[in-house]
Amino acid sequence: MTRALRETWVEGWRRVWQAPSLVLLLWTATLVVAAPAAWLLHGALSAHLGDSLMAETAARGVNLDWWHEFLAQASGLGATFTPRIIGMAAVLDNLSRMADAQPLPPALMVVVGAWLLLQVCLMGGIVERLARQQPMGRVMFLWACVRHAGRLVRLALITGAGYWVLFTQVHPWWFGEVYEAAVRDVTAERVAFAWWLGAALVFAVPVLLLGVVADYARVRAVVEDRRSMIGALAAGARFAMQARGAVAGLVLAQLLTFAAWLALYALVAPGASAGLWGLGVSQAYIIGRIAVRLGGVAAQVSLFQSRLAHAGYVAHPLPAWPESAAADAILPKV
Amino acid sequence: MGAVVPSLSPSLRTLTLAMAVVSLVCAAGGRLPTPLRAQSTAPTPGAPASLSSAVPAQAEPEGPATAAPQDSPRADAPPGFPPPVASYDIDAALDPAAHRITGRARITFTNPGQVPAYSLRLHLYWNAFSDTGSSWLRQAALDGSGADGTLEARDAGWQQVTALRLINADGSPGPDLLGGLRFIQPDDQNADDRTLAAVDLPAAVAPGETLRLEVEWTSQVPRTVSRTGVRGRDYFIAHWFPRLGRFGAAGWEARQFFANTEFAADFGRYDVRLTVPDGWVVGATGTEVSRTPDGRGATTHRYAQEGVHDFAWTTSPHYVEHRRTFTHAGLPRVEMRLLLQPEHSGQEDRHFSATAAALRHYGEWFGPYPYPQLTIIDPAWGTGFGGMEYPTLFTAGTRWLAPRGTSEPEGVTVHEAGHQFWFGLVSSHETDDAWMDEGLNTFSEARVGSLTHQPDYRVERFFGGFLPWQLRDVALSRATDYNGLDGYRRAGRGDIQATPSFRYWPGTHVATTYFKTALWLHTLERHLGWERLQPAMQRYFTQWRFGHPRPADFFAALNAGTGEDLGWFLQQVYRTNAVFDYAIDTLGSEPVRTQGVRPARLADAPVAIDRTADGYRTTLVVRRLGDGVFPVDVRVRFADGSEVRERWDGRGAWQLFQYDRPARAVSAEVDPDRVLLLDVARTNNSRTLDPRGPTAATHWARQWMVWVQDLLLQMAVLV
Repeated sequence: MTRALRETWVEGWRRVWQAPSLVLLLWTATLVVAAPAAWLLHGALSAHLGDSLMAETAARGVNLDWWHEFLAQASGLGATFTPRIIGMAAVLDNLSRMADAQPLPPALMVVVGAWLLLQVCLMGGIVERLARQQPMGRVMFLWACVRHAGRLVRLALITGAGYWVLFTQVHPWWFGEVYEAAVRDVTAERVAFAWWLGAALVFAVPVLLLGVVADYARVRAVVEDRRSMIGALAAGARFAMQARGAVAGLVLAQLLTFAAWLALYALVAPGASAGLWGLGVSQAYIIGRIAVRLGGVAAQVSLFQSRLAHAGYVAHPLPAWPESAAADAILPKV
Repeated sequence: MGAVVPSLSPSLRTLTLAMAVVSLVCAAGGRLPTPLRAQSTAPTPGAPASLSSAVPAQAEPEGPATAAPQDSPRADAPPGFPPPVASYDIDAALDPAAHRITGRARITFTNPGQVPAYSLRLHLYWNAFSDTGSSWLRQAALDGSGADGTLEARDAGWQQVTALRLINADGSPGPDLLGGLRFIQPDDQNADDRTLAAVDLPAAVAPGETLRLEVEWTSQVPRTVSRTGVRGRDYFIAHWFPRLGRFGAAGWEARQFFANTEFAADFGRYDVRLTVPDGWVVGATGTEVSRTPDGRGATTHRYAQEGVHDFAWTTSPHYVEHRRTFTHAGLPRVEMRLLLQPEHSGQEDRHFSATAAALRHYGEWFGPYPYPQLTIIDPAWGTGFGGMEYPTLFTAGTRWLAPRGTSEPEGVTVHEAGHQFWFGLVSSHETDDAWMDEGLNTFSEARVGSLTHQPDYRVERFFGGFLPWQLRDVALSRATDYNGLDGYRRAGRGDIQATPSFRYWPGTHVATTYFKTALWLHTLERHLGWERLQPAMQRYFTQWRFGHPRPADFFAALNAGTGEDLGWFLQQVYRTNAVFDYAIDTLGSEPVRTQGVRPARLADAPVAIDRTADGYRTTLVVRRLGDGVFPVDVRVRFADGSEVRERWDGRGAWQLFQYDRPARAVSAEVDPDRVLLLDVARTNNSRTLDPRGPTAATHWARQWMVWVQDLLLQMAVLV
């Protein structure tokens, strides 16, 4: 990592450190979206357990017999309640779901859809706050979110179409035909795994490229106050090409930081019997994961500003609200 | 309820023989019997207690009634082994470049039945993989979980008989039979199926008489399917040679090949010479007798074994060979030979200890393993060879990353080693009564597993299924997990077990065959006690070792061995798809209060009363929600620490229990010791007046919410 890159990375973390409310905001947002679904599941679990003595063991830890019995009759959200939600397995499940391009459980589509929309709307304000490096106030933050929401939704739709092609068209072909053909006569699992890993890394390239272009398109859309998202994508791509070394370095740093955070969580991830302390550890992991993501976003903003503008540059000025009519009346006329 | 099922055996034999005689009479009159039509998959519940409808013997129908036997020598078997019925002397060569096997087999068949054999039945099972019209691929396509019913030409396998002739008593070639060989489809009338062939004999083989036959064939090795074939340079070769069907008391009991079920054949001696490239390791049924290089790049491996009913083999340049000797007081020594994949180096002990555990426990519980060697094959990745049994040889199955504290490879190793007993030695009819080996073996394997490889934690696999993650919070148990309760719960209304196994619905045949049997046997174990069930199973094993029992034989052994008429239970689990489900419907505990009017004395006018006595009246209603009936205990616990336990015969739709006691009830449970493992809904078996359901729901909803939050953050990288 070069000195400039390290400074950019540190600068990103510094900006997140100066705006902890952004982390808390996103964490709260995950809770706001996930909690109602959890409440629905709570109702289903509670109804199935009823007054049964099975609840006594289920309240202390895993009662696999009851779990299977519940799943046998469950549908919707209940059907997603599998042992893969326990501790670190939950994280691996989600990562693996993306790597293997497994479809989302239908019952969660609404939840995830609502989250993505909320995330897109919030990101305008978040990027602007990270770019300005100064408190904006709740109203200004909300105003920034609203002002950028339409553009970023359009950007998300465009990039979403790209991801849709990658995960629903390219992935099945790549892993279903190309990879399968490669391992057709392979009889050693470790060799097959090497092939799989190679295939996954190759597949990750267009995914990362699309992600990087979309990320810098978002940064440019917000910082440069761009209206055209196609133009923003083109500008993002141009920037990523021009600063490809730094951009790639930041991606790598982001991935390594994320991997380190996962490794740390794997060591302390609570088991099935953990009570409130386990919930605390899990939420700390969620908060940390959000911070890692925002650190990456902030570093991208910082990199862009350092290359094409200056630290703290944002094209659109913060709006200055007019004084009240009474105050206006007593001000000296010029 | 009378013991209907166990009383079947004599009547079954009589009826089956009668059917055979009728068939012969029809044949003599020039009228062939009506082919077996596609039947309803479910026998009518409560139908007359005959197995003939469920397990139709394919009686020998053809040929002249007066044909003379060819010869009648009957080879004596070595001590400890049964007289051979079908013996094979095989020369086969593998061409790895073309994936092709050419072979010649000399077959010696001694009619073990009670009727003459007028024709022969030959299994040509690799034709199941020749085209998608085969019954095997059609059935596999119905399942949806295994083969999808498609087949590329380059992956196809087939068998072609190129010569078929009798051998005269002096060893000279006899009449050529090839022209008369024809495919038959007695089981599903699928004209596209070419897995079972028949040929008429010029002279019948009378009971006890012997026929010699020579068959030559060419086979294309399929790409791995149904635990046979090739992937890369790893071959596993099973059901690979033209093999006679099993000849029962009333004639041939040969079936087409179906995806649901496996194989059945007669015991005999196998002497097989396999020619493969130099340096390739060979594992096979029996013991290696010799190894002869031909000097041209190939080596012939000769394997021989008495008293087996099949022969399978494997070859690969990759296997690493390990050997260890099993010894245990009171049981014969067994040489264990393990052919391990190089990438599984370090897992030898796990394979050997699991195999030894099976040899020990099955040996102690049922009877000894009589062969000198047992070969364990560790299948190569992606071959699908794993988890299959053949006489004196089986395939296990493990992973490159196989954490300790899980039952991989131990579970499958014990299971397949156990099949040496329930399949290899007690050779039930796998295509008709698959539960008799798979179910009994699942039960036995689960019992061994609970004694040996513990703790056994659940493993989830991620990232293409390559990376395991052990869930240390989720320990698997024999009663529910090893017995497959969850699978049975989802398929409890599947096929009636008495239905011929090859006709089970593909989607639920595993639950009906494996899990249901394991659960009802374990239920019997808990109901009777192992000390009563074990001798009964040992009796069955001893009685039917080297035999071909039918369900009635097993039930008769159970009754005789336990000294109890179990027909009331066996009838339900075997002849119906009854589901068992007992539940606590109502539990209440209120102060005892008497209201209304009552005369103080007999002659007095009634006066209003409203009395509250000391103590509580506890009211409990237990319901039978399923149609299965089983006697159950009911336990009520009270706040003062006391408890009441009662026995309910479980027959009625519901049962009321009331108690006036000084303390209120706190909980009630039906079947508190969980004897009835077939109960598909355990949660409703209990009720407490201090419920913790909401607490448990909160606990788990919180954990689930974390998973959702993480999922949301995962998805957020896309926008």
